[in-house]
Order: sequence, then C-alpha cells, then structure tokens
Amino acid sequence: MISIKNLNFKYAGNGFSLKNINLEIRKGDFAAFVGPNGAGKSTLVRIIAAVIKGYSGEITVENKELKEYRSIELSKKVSYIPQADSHVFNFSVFDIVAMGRRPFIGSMGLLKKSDIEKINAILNDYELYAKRDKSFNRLSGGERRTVLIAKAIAQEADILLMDEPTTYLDIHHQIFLMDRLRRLREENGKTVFFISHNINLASEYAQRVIFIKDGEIVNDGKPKEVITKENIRKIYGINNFEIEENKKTGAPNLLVVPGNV
Amino acid sequence: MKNKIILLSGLLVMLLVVTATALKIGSINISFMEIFKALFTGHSGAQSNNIIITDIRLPRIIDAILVGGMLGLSGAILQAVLKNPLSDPFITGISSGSAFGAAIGIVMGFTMIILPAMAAGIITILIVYRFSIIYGRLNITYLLLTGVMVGSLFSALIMLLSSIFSRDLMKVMFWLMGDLSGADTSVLKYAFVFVLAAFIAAMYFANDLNILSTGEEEAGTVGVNVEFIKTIYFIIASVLTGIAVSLSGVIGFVGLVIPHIMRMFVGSDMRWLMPASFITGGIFLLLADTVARTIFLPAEIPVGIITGLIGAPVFIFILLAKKEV
Repeated sequence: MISIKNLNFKYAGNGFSLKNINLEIRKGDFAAFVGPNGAGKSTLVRIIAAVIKGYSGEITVENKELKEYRSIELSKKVSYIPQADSHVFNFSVFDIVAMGRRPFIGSMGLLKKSDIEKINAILNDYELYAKRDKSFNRLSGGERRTVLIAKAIAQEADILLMDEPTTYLDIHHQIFLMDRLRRLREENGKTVFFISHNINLASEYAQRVIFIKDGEIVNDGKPKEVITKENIRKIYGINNFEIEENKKTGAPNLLVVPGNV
Repeated sequence: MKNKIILLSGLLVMLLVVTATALKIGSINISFMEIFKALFTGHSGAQSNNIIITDIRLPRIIDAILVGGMLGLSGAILQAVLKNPLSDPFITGISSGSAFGAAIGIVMGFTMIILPAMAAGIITILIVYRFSIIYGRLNITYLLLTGVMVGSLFSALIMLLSSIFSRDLMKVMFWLMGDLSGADTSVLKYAFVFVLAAFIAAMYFANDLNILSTGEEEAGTVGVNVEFIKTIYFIIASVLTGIAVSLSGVIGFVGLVIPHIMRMFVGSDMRWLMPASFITGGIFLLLADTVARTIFLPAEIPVGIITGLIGAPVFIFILLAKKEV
C-alpha cells in the first residue's frame, strides 16, 4: 500500500534528520513504531501523512507518488491522528468528529443524514455519545485522544497513522482503545500504524514492531523477533531489565528492574 | 442551532432599532413619523428634514454598518486563519497598509481609492505572514510584532506623504483615527457589491476554515487544501479591510473585540460566527458613530475615539472575566 524507498529528511534549523528509511506498509499491517524520545518516529509518521513536506527519496501510496496527491485524494486513503493537544478555539465533540467527514462533503461542511448517522454510530462505539455536545477542550487528555480517533474512523481511510494513541490513557482505556484498533483491522481490514512508548502494549497488540533510533530503522519484525534483550539494551541504553514471555499470549514483555541506566 | 437562529434574528432586530435611533437623533431631532415618510414616500413634510434623512444620515448609517460589519467579519476570519484570538485587521498591519494604499491613491489622483487600498492590504498581510514563518511554522509572536511594526511604518509613511504633499493635518487624522463623516454614496455602491461577494465566498469555505482553526497539519490530512484556504481568507480579510479603510480610515478594536464577544454566544463555528460578527460589528460601529456625532453637539468627534474608549475596557474586561477564548 505504501512503499518508502531511501527516504531522507532534515529539519531546517536543527540537526535532526531521518536517514535512509526503507519501509513497506502492507495491507492489513498492524504495526508499532517504537524507539527513544527524539528518534524520529513522529517525523516519519508525519511525512507519510503528508503533514511534513520537503523530503528526498520516494514514497508511493498505492503506486502513486505521495507528492502528486491532492490533499482531498490522500485523505480518503490515509488518516493521521496527532497528539491530542487542546485547540485554540472551542468545538464540540460532535463537531470534531464531523470534521473527519470532510473528504465526503464540501467546504461548507453540510452533513447529509447518512453522515450524521455514521458519526452518531461511531460516537456510540467509542462511548462518546453522551459527551457529543461537550467542548473538546474541556475533556481530559484521554478523552480528547478518543475523540480524535473517532474523527479518523469517520474519515473511512484504509490506512490509519497514529502518534501515540495510548498516551494519557489509564490501563482500562489503553486496552479499550487497542481492542478497537485491532477490531478495525480484523473486521474492517484497516491498516494501522501507531507510535508507542509502551513496549509491552506494542508487543501484545502489534504484529510488527519497528524500532527507530537516531533517525534510522534499526529493527523491523514480529514482536518475538525484535523485542530481545540485546536490541532493547542497544536502543534504550538500559541494562537492568528482563524480557519474559507472557504466559497467556506468548508475547515478549519487558520487566523493569530499578537502577543502572 | 435553533438558539443561534434566534440570536441572529435578535441581532438583526437590534440593528434596525439602532438604525432608527440613529436616523432620529442629531443636531436636529426628527420624529419617527417623518423618518418613515421620508424613507418610504420620499416626503416628510419639511424639505430640509428630508435631505437630512436621505442624503446625510442614511448614507452615513449604511457606511457605519458596512464598515463595522466588514471589520468584525475580517477580525473573525483573521483570528481563525491565524489560530490566534488576538488577531485583527489592525494588529496584523492590514488596516495601516490599506490606509497607506488609499493615501497613495489620493496623492496620485485615483478616483477609486478602494483598489489601491485593497491591494496594499493584501500585500501587507502576505509580507507580515511571510516574515512570521519560522522553520516552516507560523510563529504568533513574530506575527504580532511584525504586524505592529509594519502598522507603525505605514502610519509614519502616511504622515510623511501628508507633509510632502502638504495636505492639511485633519486629513491625516481621518486616516489614522477613523471617521465616518465623509461617507460617499458613490463608493458605498461598489463597496456593497464587494462586501456581498466577499461574504458569500467567506461562507462558502467556512467549514474548511473551522477545520483549519483546529490545526493546519490536521486540516491537511482530512482533505482541506490548507494553502488555498489560507490565501482565500487572507484575500477576503484584506479586501474587506481595504474597503472599510477607504470608507472611513483606520478604526481599531471592532475587528478584535466583536468576534471575541460573539464567540461567547455562538461558539467558534465560523458558519455562525462570521454572520454574527458582521451584524454585531455593524451595530457596534453605528452606535459608536451615533455617540460620536451627538455627544458634544454641535461638535463631532472621530468615531475611532469612541471605539477605543469603549473597546479597550471591554476587551480587558473580557480577558479578565473569561480565561478561555
């Protein structure tokens, strides 16, 4: 679906860069980008979502160069969920989710009956219906996150790119959300790429874990193959920890032991 | 939605009431009966009152409503495009740019000073915006600083022009303080057409502007053509400001305060905020102008003084009373 070849990118004004990224995003992938702070995970996701421009190399989305897409065309294929900062101006939960319908309606935003039904169904599914008239800015960080995901679902794109979807969420909501993302893949055939700092959550849910460090992809494979003691030590520079198998799922889990960074 | 329709209708009624009052009071007080007759039958009895109503007060009232409306609408647009509730035509330098364009137009003997005023407004916002992009992102501090600096530069240039071409100082005061006493009916006619076109365009792309106001990056990913929408609205805001300035000089505060107040009532949805800001801007400026021409009868003071006197305290009050914009 998306093919990235020899991608290089440098921010103007600071030294950070992405170096020679090669990546295939395949239909039905459920993958996690994992890596230290400042490794370039968000930058990579934002480049794929066409939020950041000015890269070199080749990115094709369904065999067409990313740079040749008009935003309305790309928005029907790829949706992007940013970190859930509050907005300058107030909009209701319903309004924000309705913005996800933009690819199907005009610039005046007149919703058809079918659009409203879809939005309400999504609000229901994400347990947001009771809050539909509440101001987005007054929600907790976790609720805002859920609203933005609901907005991306309303967009009906096949590929969902998410910047840290579970940040700010308690464990109940982390699981609530990851279950829904998994269902999107299993029932709706969506392709989901998310950034996570939670190695165990990535390990349990993702089928593919991509480690990024200093602007480069250092490992890419099934959780079992890449979440190893050696890799974690190299990527994060920590020494005192264990990798153990979750007896129920078989996925590798990282157990923290205090001290010794 | 129903509440918002009621509110907009209420504002329209209020506009009518203020208009009727403004027609009535002044150096000569005219009864409502006479006003009615003058407007709808063309005859009010006393010939002089007829002229006062149709040739003096009415054009000025329409001028005040249009100018206030344009500034309110322009302010609402700039705040949304720049994602900054402190933006308005004045702070971004557009007003002063337009005033400079108009002054150049006058010096060069143009009859349609609206055109250089609009063009200079568009150029100003594009320059100010360009200077405020730091590492690919809009930096609001730079924007406001550049806007204020460019604004002062243009004010200085206007004064320079006026000294070189030895126009009288009152003319300069007109551009810098704002004044509605020179309402010109011939200009009002084009102004009306431009305003209507700008308003329709503004409403047509209104939801894209909503999405843009929640963040440029996200807007692009749901299919909004971000650069196009920004450019369109910069042009609309500059055209509106350019016309307003050609009609009445630089009037501050309307563009800043009115969208703020309206946001409290109708929310941030531009499909409601823009018409509400237009109508309320009109009401506000008409009220201010009516006060300006009647408070020290028979003398008249520039309306900019009144909008500043009302606008500044109201704005500070809003900031203190409401933490969230």
